[in-house]
Amino acid sequence: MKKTLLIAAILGATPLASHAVDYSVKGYASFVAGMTTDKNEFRPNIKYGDGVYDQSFDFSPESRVGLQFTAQITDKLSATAQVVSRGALDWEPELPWAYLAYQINDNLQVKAGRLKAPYYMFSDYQDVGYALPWISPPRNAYIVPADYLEGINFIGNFSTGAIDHTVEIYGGTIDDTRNSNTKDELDINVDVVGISWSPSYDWLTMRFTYNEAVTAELHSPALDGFNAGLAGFEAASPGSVDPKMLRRAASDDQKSSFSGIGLKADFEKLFILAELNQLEWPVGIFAHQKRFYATAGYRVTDKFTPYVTFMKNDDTPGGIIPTGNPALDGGLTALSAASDTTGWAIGGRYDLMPNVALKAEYQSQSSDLSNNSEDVADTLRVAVDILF
Amino acid sequence: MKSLYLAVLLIATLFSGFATAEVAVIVHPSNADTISQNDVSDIFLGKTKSFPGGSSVVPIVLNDATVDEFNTKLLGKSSSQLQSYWSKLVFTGKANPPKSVSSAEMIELIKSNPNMIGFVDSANLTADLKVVGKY
Repeated sequence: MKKTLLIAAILGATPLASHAVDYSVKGYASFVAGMTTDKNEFRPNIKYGDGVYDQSFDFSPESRVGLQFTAQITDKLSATAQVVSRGALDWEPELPWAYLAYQINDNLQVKAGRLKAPYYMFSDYQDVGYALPWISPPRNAYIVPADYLEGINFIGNFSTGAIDHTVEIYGGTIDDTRNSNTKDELDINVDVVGISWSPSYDWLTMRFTYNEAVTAELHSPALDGFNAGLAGFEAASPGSVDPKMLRRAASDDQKSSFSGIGLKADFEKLFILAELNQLEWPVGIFAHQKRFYATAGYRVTDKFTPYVTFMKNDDTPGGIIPTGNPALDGGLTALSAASDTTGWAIGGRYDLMPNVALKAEYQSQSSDLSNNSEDVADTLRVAVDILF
Repeated sequence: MKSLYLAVLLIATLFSGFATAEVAVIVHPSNADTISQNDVSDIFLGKTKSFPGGSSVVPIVLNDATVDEFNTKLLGKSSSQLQSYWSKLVFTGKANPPKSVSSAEMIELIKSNPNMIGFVDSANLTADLKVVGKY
């Protein structure tokens, strides 16, 4: 209800303005098809749990169409809504963005409403395939199963000598339902505050980001089931469950902190992109996820840009204090499992027309710890990215 | 020897073909600012919203082939790179690309709006425009 009111207020602000309102509609589409080349399954995006590639060529896991409506109400005030339809959600339209933006001065902008949660270096335009060198950012480092938040976001720009800085400060509520990477429906209700700082000097741009969930309620059948299981086992044989274990598994307090370092280095023809992202759970049950990728690309011509990517997961398992009940201990261990997956990818982009890009990528993953299908899948994908 | 001569002629013709139009960056005659090539690039990439002198600026681009010349020479970007650049800003609500108009509309707009900056093929310059630079 709260969401609906918010969006109605944002969209409703538009007709109140004078006749001078300047409307624009812009769109993007990515049609991606792919398959795994071994017997495994690959989920390209942790947020859209139903989008999975298997051995049959499939068009739905990542394909999407987005339309953005902007009303420039005054010089400084604008209202924006973006509607996205995804194959992974049966093409049901979503509204990941709906906000009012106010340009306080040349160097400071504030946005309020429903905004993309700016976790990563490429969060802001992650869906706009055309703006990316890859079909999608390396998914191993894009680890938070949430897409947007309702809140407020300040973006400021300033310069110190030859260095340009962008600072972003935001806060809001993520209230969302996602399929988690255990194919287990996950209800997320988290209040986050965050900051990112991005200095840029000629060929080099860095990004440092941190955010913290100040309250965090997560519900999934597995997590809730283990909570009931732990409580039941403790009731049946008092003293067998360490209170710390109960605390770690508590659904209503899975606070996390996210930190990331990003790098873009551009040497005209050669460019390098890298991110190290970490998701930590100070008391929670899940693994501390430490994820890295680096891509090196080369602009062979104006139109053809091949690249290679290296990916590495270096997680630490969440702390499990055994209860002595094999079923419970096994389940909790699985829930808190770490990934050590290593992967590489080779791919390329071809600019067919000024608003159409073709892409292809093959990626391969391996793991010493896990033979879980998703950790070891090899995947071939092709894409057409369009702006309109 | 004759074939060498033909080859030289052919190459010379090709190069003269590449030596395309000269782009003139233009403002209103009343604009007294000194505007460098870097300033032009910053304005047309949306990195600054004001002239070096501090007054607000509205960049306008051409909708004909001269725009490619301008993009390569002044912004250092191919049309695909520029599309990609603007799509990042547009779909994150940070900025919108400049409006594009014909050469005749450009000249009308620039000579009647002191806060605008644009460009035309040098061959189309008229006396009532101030030329910031030719590239």
